[in-house]
Amino acid sequence: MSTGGSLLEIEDLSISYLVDGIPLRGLRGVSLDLARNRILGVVGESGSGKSTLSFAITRLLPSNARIDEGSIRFEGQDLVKADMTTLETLRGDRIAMVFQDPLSSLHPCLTIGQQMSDAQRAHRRIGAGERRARSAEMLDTVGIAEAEQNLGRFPHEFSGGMRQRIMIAMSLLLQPDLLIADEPTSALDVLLQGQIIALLNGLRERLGTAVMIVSHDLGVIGEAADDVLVMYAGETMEYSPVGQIFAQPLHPYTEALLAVMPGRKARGRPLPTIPGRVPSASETSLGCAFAGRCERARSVCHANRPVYSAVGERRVRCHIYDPLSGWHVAPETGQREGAPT
Amino acid sequence: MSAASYPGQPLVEVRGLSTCFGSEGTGLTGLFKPEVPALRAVDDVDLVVMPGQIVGLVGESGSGKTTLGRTILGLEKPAGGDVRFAGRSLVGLGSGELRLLRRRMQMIPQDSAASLSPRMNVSQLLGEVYDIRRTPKDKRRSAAELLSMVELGSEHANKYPHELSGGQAKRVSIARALAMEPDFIVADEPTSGLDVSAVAAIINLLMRLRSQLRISYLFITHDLDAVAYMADVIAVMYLGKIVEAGPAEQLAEAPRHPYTQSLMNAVSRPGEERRPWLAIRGDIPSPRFPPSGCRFHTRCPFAQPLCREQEPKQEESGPGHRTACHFWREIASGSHLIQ
Repeated sequence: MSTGGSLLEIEDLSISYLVDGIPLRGLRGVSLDLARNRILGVVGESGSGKSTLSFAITRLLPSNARIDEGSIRFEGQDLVKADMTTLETLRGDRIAMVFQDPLSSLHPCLTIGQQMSDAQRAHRRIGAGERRARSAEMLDTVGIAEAEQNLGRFPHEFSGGMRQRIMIAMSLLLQPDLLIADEPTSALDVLLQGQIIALLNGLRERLGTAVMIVSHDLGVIGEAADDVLVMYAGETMEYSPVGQIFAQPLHPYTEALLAVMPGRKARGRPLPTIPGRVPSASETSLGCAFAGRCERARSVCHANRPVYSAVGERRVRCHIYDPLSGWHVAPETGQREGAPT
Repeated sequence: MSAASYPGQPLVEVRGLSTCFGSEGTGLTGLFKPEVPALRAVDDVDLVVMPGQIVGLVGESGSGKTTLGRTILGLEKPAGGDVRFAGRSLVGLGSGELRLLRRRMQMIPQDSAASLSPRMNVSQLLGEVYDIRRTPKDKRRSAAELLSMVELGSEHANKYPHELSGGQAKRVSIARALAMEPDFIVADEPTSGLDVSAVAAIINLLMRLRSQLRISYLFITHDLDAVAYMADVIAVMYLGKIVEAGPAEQLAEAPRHPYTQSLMNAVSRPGEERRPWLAIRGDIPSPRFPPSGCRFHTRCPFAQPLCREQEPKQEESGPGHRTACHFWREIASGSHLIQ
């Protein structure tokens, strides 16, 4: 797993939000590695901590968030300990972020050209002419025609898909090493989704950018990502190369997510759902966070928190894959069961 | 239910319906005539919804789906054509009569959370529907009853919108639509922005309500898998026109129009190969300046000179299946491949 080539290494990251003085769960012991030239897909339901994770990497968490422990290493440098000056030089330059809603992330009263120019001026000493040329070139890269002319337009003059591509163009102006895209396609229709995925893939190939895509759409993740991280209630449940996770999910939660994934379903029969709901941030459990909704949960799952253990090159947080957890001792018979395949 | 009193008759019948934004509707002439042409968001659309039927309306953002839904409900003024509900034309109906008829036609708005007032709790939000319609107290369904219809516990009655999850807010929206005991609901993107698990649960709920209450839906979505699962009939819209419509299974399995084919091909399903020649290039053109001839010709992989010049008519391309494409036969037989 952990190779020397990692661009981003997160270890045991825990974050809580203080609400009325009470700490609520944000992230709980999250670890991940992301190498250059790789696309990592982060999936999970609302409230799973996906966005907290992306804001933590850029250290753009709201003021009531507290990093309790853990490290976020970007090229070896721990961003948890980094000061504001260091963060400001990294953000927008080496680490770029594309947010879910392109309209609210673009300034409504400035032209696209001005905004793209400002993004460069904040980090580089380049003349206005060159900034404009670079902006036009980047718009062209993301497939926006008549780039020169479009630089003079305002955000409201573009369609949703174009705005999202403008956001991506803007984030790539300074050729970042890491691009974090939070739900980049969820506001878009299928045709635009396909375009954005193709765009991200192409950029990775051309620029060697490492990309982290956060999405609740497994279809998008399946198509765009090399590796998948499944999150639930602020914890990492499974990490796996994309092909394997679809062919053979390890965690019961991953299995449930795949079962409810939209797709061609037989008409006339109710669709499968995951019963129950994600535990709220104030609910803490001693055991596995998913135990309350898991069909295979046994008493140990409610009592002890499973460890994030390695299964080959994959990792999974589930008692089923831990022979020492006690899960395999069936409650009725006391007989040991074989681990499921 | 009143819908059942029209057996075999369409519940909603749309003929030649157009909706314009901008100059055409303004009635201004001469010096004051606006220079920009009107935007025909809906252009000469025919659509029929039978009692108890689910009609899926799909197409890219900007194709006019929501405007069509709103025009059918009388929320936009049509520039031409007719909408009939249970046999009665809504065009030219007096406002009093329209109000009465409109109780039976409801809408589930796209952004449920935003459509619920943040200052009202769920119980007030449900009562508000009756207050607006001045429904007598004894004819009102209780909040608990409406909530149970959408599978929410009565403990939600005292919650405020910010305390609800996306799926729960959507259910409250559905409950508001159900309050007036409608025969017809326009559901505008009821599943967008929800978690995968919540999407499946909302679809199951809408299907159960349909079979229990015999409600017809116009289901507006860009989730093609959902529409293939739910709808009886699918209509595909592009730049204000319906380019293809037919029985859902047939249309999903064997789409005739190259636009529908591209849409179906664009759905990402892990492990399934896409057909690269069907990838649509570029963006949807501005509906203010629609392309000549077939509106799709600027993006169509099969476009011929004829497509630029002449607008295709709707042709019968299967039982109950209509396609507006000059070359659907050639494309279907594969004899007409990419240039």
